[in-house]
Amino acid sequence: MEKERWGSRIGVILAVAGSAVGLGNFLRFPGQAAMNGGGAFLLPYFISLLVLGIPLCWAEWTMGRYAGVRGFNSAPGVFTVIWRHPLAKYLGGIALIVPLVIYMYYVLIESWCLAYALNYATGDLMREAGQGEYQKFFDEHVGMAENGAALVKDGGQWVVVLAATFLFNFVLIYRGVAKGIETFCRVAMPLMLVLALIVLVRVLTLDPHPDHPDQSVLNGLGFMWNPQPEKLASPGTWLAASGQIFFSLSVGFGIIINYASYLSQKDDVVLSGLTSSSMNEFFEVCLGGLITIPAAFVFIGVVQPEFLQSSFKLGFVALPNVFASMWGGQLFGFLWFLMLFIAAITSSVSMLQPVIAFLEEGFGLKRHASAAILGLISALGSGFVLYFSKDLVALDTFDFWVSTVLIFVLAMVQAFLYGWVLGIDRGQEEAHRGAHIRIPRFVQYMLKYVVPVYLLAIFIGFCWQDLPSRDIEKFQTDSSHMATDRDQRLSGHLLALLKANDVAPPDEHTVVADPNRPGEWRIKDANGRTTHVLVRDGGQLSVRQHKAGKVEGILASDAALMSVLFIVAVLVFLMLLIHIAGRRWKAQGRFDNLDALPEVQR
Amino acid sequence: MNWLWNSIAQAIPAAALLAQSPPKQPADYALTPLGWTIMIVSVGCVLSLVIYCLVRVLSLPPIEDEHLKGPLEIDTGDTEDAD
Repeated sequence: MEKERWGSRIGVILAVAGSAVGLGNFLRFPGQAAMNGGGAFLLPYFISLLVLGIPLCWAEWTMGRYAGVRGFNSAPGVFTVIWRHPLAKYLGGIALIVPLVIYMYYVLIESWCLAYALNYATGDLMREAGQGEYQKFFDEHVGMAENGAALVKDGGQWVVVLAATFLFNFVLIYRGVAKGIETFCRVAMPLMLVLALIVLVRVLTLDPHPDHPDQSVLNGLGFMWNPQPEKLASPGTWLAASGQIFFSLSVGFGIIINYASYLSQKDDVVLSGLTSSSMNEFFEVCLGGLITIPAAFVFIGVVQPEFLQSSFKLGFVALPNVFASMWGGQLFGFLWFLMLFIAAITSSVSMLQPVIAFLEEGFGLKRHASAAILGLISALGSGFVLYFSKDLVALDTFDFWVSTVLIFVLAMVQAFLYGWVLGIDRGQEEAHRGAHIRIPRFVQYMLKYVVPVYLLAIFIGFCWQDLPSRDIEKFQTDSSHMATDRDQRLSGHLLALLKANDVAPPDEHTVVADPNRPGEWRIKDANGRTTHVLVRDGGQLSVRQHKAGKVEGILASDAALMSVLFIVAVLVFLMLLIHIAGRRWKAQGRFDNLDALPEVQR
Repeated sequence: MNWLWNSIAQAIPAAALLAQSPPKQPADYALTPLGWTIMIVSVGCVLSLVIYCLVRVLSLPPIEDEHLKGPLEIDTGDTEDAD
């Protein structure tokens, strides 16, 4: 089988940048920055970029090319080339499951962007401004109310859009690395830039809100960029900044290592890696940082934390309100969602390539056979996420356990392989083969000592923050206010007191005394989930908001539990395939005399 | 003064509302000189980096030309046996 190659230097850079630039650049970054100190957030953000992001990118580029010239493109093969140990290929399995499972739900979000763009094109989304209208549209569209609702929405029109998006991805991947991915990215990336610049100019020239002159673009920029230095004292800010860099640059996805494996021995990896990273930063800081929040601010005023925390609410509820109110909103809404769709598809197509590469080199399959098998597996996963749409539980579960937990695990494995197995001396020598700029020596020491520790610290921080449930104190009042009516609902007086203190229990709720903890009551919603906790301590009644951890989330929801089991099933299936592929490689002697291959010696 | 408000809030539950700082209004977010500086420096640094990288990449010769060797670089392999 003829080895695939990138067609040009700029082509691979655009493909890697396209893989990194996604919805997170335009929706997640602005929300994280505004919530975690505004301009002050940029300090830990850029430190993380320099210490964690760019060095890890270079390591992935270097390892990918190193194994690529020795005949391997898939992560199980790449890891085994670097670490000749039977365990290595199974560790490489993480670099297959991460992009595969992310693709399963990411393609769904991508189809939402396309559906929104189409609805703007037809004018269906130009509705009366108001959070309720667009929230309702989004909820109905994604099937938030009940499982399976998205399948029948508008006679299955949304499923058709999903199928078209899915098919488009597979057409690109079927055409191969150079003719499919590279050709598409060479058009898509400049187009995305033009669309983003058009929207940016429109946002920066917006007039203040006619009824609220203080809601101006300048004040919106102030909301986004004015520093709150006190936030730097909070570990959460540093955690959020590191996480944003990590997810944004696509390190630990298994994609860069695969893309770099299609380079030749003399192709540059250092300048290419830096260029693709800086392109991603351009879309994130220069465009995402100037568009999303100022636009939302002009039309809805101070952006509430519920919007900043949720990319979906910001992108699919807040911004349609903005377009509904602005001159030319239909056109700019269409351009915005078309841009998001392009950003998403350049990312999603990159998620398919690592598994395609594995099926081809692990089993000697032709492109059509490997694409068909991958299509079947990923369609099963996307169908699973599409069906279990209630409260987006399946999507959230996939996102957390794969896009947060497994990505960190994979990044730590890669840092270990580069720093401690390949070694920083050999790593530097390999990186500098054909390089047009040099990596400073201290970066190699950072990769060996600082990056693994930094990654571990962030990983522990994320687990500490997200896994356990916790009750957050909202306010205290006199315990004599504690009262419920005969239906076990909060008394009218207590309910009014809670609402006056910005605590909003669900309309349909019950108050249940905790049998294990005397003096504690749990406010539960219609689904039986705890939303708030009331604790009597002496003469005080403490009102706390209950934040369910991921572990409680799995145990409390059948859909979440099934989602985790689905991920485990995919992982086991992939490990089985890797085991079989490993036996084939061994029988073929693929790992013998790797350094004697003509390409390596050239 | 916070201690005073907190004491009153503990004594009179209804005063808890007053103890909280009032929510910020859009007018409170006017872009400050420090905000301007951070925005310009951040955007400027990223823009400079991406322009530098792109200029470097785009000014390189095509890969196929880069890998061609000139006559003086070609190692014919016969120098060791010259004697």
